[in-house]
Order: sequence, then C-alpha cells, then structure tokens
Amino acid sequence: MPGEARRGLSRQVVEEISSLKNEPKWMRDYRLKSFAYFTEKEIPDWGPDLSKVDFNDICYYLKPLDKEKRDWNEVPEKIKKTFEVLGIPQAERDYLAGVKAQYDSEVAYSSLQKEAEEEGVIFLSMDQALKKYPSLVQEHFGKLIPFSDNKFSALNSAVWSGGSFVYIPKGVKVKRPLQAYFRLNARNMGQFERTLIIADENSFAHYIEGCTAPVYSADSLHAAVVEVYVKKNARLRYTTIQNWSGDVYNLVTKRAGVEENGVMEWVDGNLGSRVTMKYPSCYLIGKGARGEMLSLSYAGENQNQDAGAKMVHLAPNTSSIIVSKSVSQKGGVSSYRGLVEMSPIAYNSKSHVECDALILDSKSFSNTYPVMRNNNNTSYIEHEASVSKVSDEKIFYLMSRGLSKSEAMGLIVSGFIEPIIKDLSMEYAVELNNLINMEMEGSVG
Amino acid sequence: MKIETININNNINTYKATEDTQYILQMDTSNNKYKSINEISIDFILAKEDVNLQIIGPMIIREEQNIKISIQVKHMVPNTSCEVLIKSVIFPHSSLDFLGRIYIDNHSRNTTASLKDNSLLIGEGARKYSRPVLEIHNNEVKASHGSASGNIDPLSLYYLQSRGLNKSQSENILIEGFLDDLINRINDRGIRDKLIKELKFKEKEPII
Repeated sequence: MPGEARRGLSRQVVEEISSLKNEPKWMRDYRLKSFAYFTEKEIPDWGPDLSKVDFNDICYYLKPLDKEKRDWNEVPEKIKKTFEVLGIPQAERDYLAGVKAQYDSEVAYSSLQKEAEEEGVIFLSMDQALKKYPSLVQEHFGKLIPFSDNKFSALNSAVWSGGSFVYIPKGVKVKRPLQAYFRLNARNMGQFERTLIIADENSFAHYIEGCTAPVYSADSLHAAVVEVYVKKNARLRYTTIQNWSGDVYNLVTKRAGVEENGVMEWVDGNLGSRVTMKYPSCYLIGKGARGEMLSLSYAGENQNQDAGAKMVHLAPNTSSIIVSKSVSQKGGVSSYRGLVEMSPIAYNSKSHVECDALILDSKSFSNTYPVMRNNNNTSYIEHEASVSKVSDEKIFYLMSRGLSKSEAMGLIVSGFIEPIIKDLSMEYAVELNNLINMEMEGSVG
Repeated sequence: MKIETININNNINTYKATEDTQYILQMDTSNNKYKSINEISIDFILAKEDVNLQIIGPMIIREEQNIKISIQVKHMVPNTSCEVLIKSVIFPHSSLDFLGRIYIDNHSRNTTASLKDNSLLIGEGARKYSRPVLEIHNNEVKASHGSASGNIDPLSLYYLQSRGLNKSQSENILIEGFLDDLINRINDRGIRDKLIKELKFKEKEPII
C-alpha cells in the first residue's frame, strides 16, 4: 500500500529492492548471497550491547515521501539550540530535524557536480553508477569488503541503497573537496549507504561526508559500507563527521586498499548516535604505502562510541599513524579499539599510535583496546595512550584570567582535540568548536 | 617496600596486596620450559587504600620458545597506584604474546596507573603480540600505557662496531643497555645481581 512503511527483512524484500532498482543479474545474485550469509552469522560478542537491535522492526527500502516526518514541536530543544549555535539556515534545519522529507539541495549539488565533471571526475550516486559504469563497479564492488566480512557488511550488501561512487582519473588532482552532504536527500541518505571510491594512479581528492549539525534519523540502524581503492602514487583523504541524533545504532565498515606509494587519510568525527562501531582500516598492499587515521569521539549521555582504526602492513617500507582523541561525559562510554599488524613480509615498516582520552566526570567511562602484532623484526610499532580528567589547576588558572568555568572547560577540551581539528576544513573546525562549547555549558553543574 | 618474586609458570595466580610491594617476575630458566603451549595469568588486586605496586618483568625468550602471558591490575579502592614495567628480548623464532590490562573501577578515585611493555625483536622470525588494555571508570585518575617493539637500533650497532667490537659483542651491550633501567629498579640486591649474571651473554655466543 502506498505510504505504508513496510518493515522486516526477507529474501522477497531483497529481491524487490533489486527489481525496483532494475539491477543487473550479478548484483541481484550478490544481494541474495549476502542475505543468506546475514541470516546465518551472529552479532559480535564483543563491544557495545547490540541485543536491542530488532532487525524485523526496520524499513529496508522506502520511497522518499514514505519516510516518517515529524512536527517542529516534536524536535527536542537541544537540537533546536544546536542549530542556533551552528547558525544553520532555516530550510536546512527543517530537513535535518526530520520535519521535511527532502532537502532542496539540487542547486548546490549540481554546481559542485559540474566542477567535478570538468576535471573528469565521476561523482554519482551508487545506484546511478551501477547503471552507467557497470564494469567499473563490478570490478571493485565487494572486493575490499566482501559480504562475509561481518554481519553488518552482509546486511548492507543485501539491502544497500544510496551512497556515492567516485572515480578520479589518472593524474587528476581535484581542487575542491567532493562534498557528499549536498547529495543528501531522503532517498540517498543514511541507513544502508554503499560508497565506492577509486583514486586512480597519481590522483588526489578529498571526500567529505556528514555534518556537524545533529541529523534526525527515524531509522534505528545504520549499516554503511565504504570501500576505497588508492592506486599507485595516489592520495585520498576521506573526512566523516557523524552526528546522528536519537537512538541510532551506527555500525559501519570502512576499508581502504593502498597500493605502491599510495596514501590514505581517514579523518573521523563521531559525535552522535546511541552506539557507534566504526574502525576504518587501511590495508597497505604495495610497498611504500601509507595509512593515516585521525579520530575524534565525543560520548555524552546515553552514548557509546566504540571506534578506532586498523592498519595492516602487507608490504615492505610501509608506514601508518593513528591519532585518536576522545571525550566522555555524563555517563558516556568512549572506547578505542585498534589493530596494527606487521605481516612477516612487512620489512622496514613503522607504525605509531597515540590515543588520548579525557573523562570529564566520574559517571563516564573510557576504554582502550589496542592490538599490536609484530611479525617482522625489522619493523617498529609504537603505541601510547593516556586517560585523564581536566586538571583543576588548569581550570583555576583560566578562571583567574576571567573565563567562566564552562568557558575554561571548553577552551581546554578544544585544545585537547586541536590536533584533529586543525586537519579539518575551516567550516567544520568552527562548527565543532561551537558544539564543544555548547556541550561544556551543560557539564558544569 | 616489600619485595616478592613471582615465577612465570603455567598457572593462574592472584595477588592481593595489602602494603606497598614490588613484584618481580622471574622466568623459569630450565630448558625448554616454554616450548609447549602455555597460558600464564597473573592478577593483582588492589582492595586496600593507599597501596602502591610495582610490577617488574624482565623477559628473555629464546631457543624457539613462545610465551603467552596476561597481567591484570584491578584498582577497586581510592588512593592506589601501580606501575607495570615489562621489557622483553625476543630471539629468532621465539615469541611473546602479552596482554596487560589495567582496570580502574568506579570507586577508585585518585588512582595512578601506568604500564610499559617494550620488546626487542632480535633476528628473523622473532614475533611480538601486544594488547595493553585500559578500562577506566572514574575520572579522578591518571592512567597511561605505552608499548613498543622493534629491532636494535642499526645506527647504535654500527657505532659500537666502528669502535672495534664485533657484532655479537655490540648486540650484547645494547641488549644489556635496553634492560638496564629495568634491572636498576629492582630493590633487592641479591635478585638484581642474579639477574645480571643470567643476562650476561657469553662473549662469543652467536646471537643470530
């Protein structure tokens, strides 16, 4: 029935999704294989509690206008306040808050698209790419993250919809960041996005998704999959700022395969969601490849941010660096979970990991679960982590210079996360600092 | 500070400290003790206030032995501290799998905890797996850990050889240097001397 949201997952639903999209047979078969695997595989027995995720209470495919909308009156005060603080224009507020189903971003989007096209870059939705460039997609789809990787990549592989496809041709260095934000509208957004990025030899691009503003989602489960191919001598930077509001379980699988002398940079900001499990990884396949991860997590009331990174060194002369900063308060739980592995053939390679956590009150938790496996004696792995609170002396000093207690806290937390912020583009940096200051006001009781 | 030695053997050991204690981990040097599969577990529980622990573990793993060891320190009350210092030298085709967990529960305000786990991987086939874990449930704490693994610095090796020492002598000196600060932390002279003697590699003993 039109307008009625259909809930629950079955083989039939998967088949319908594929036929509604008019997909080639190989994709349809892939979805069905993935679905079979999904039903067999258990949810992970480690990490945050996922027992409340009800796979049958989810709408797996909706037309845009079927999406639930809510009244502006129903939008929580805190979200309205955040929009104020961030200076979000009204039209965007309606969309972000779930009051409007569609955001008329066509104007912004099409001019960005034109710029990209002029440089030869292909930047489309995943659905469109499957139609327009089927062999390019088939060559790369599901090769870095097979459906069998984990339960949620299997789910995504079965019901994926939306997401971006980006191809940067050989030698092209894209001048302006490729923004996924403006492509958001209810059809493409959220739930089961599937993104595939291919940076061909000697190319460079910066891809940005998400936004600092809290985004309302009626969906309780987001299981996205992102595959990035960095070919020889190419460089790709992928920035995500996630601030899903509400009771979202954000369970994402992101992986990059980096070839000879390639560089992959993940910049990850986790601000929202009830539960996040996200460990962007780099498989350093070619010699001289490099992986970098800058991760920032904020865990407030009722939030559990379980994030980190994986760097797998599979060739000589590879290097990686992971910098993770987390802040937890009001009972929030923030965990770093990471892996650095040197395979027996990863000669002369190095990895450096730093994780720092700030716990702002005694209700909150901070955990660090790093794993290091060094199988090559010519390679170096170093890891350091620290957990602390904001020192009373620092607060006292700043207050003696005239700042209020919450301003002092805000300044110190901003300083703590500065190494990550300075690598974000300016708009994000400013918004993030505003958000932090807003959170600090609530923390001083 | 009380001194207690702990033998690294294939059991689960729990220690509840009631006064400031330095625990020294001692490996069993009898032949091939660690050749077969082993899983050693040592837990330290701080259930009394104002207690400070030092856990010192020099480990030399050679002759294709493999050690899997987990050390846990649980802070359950306020005003305690722990310092875990593990330094290992791992020879060709030997390995160390180390889990070092520091747990600070909700009541343990004013806790200071640190863990250091450094390894020298000498030669082809030496392997190190490390999992230093922090689980912190109170904010009035200072907790940190560091873990590093890698070979002897090639430049230092080159320098010593350029001063006339052969490769094996140079390596020995650098290995002793690596373990030096750990051994000097040991408060008991008898144990310290015994360790230095055990660690003194015979001059012409080939390392690789």
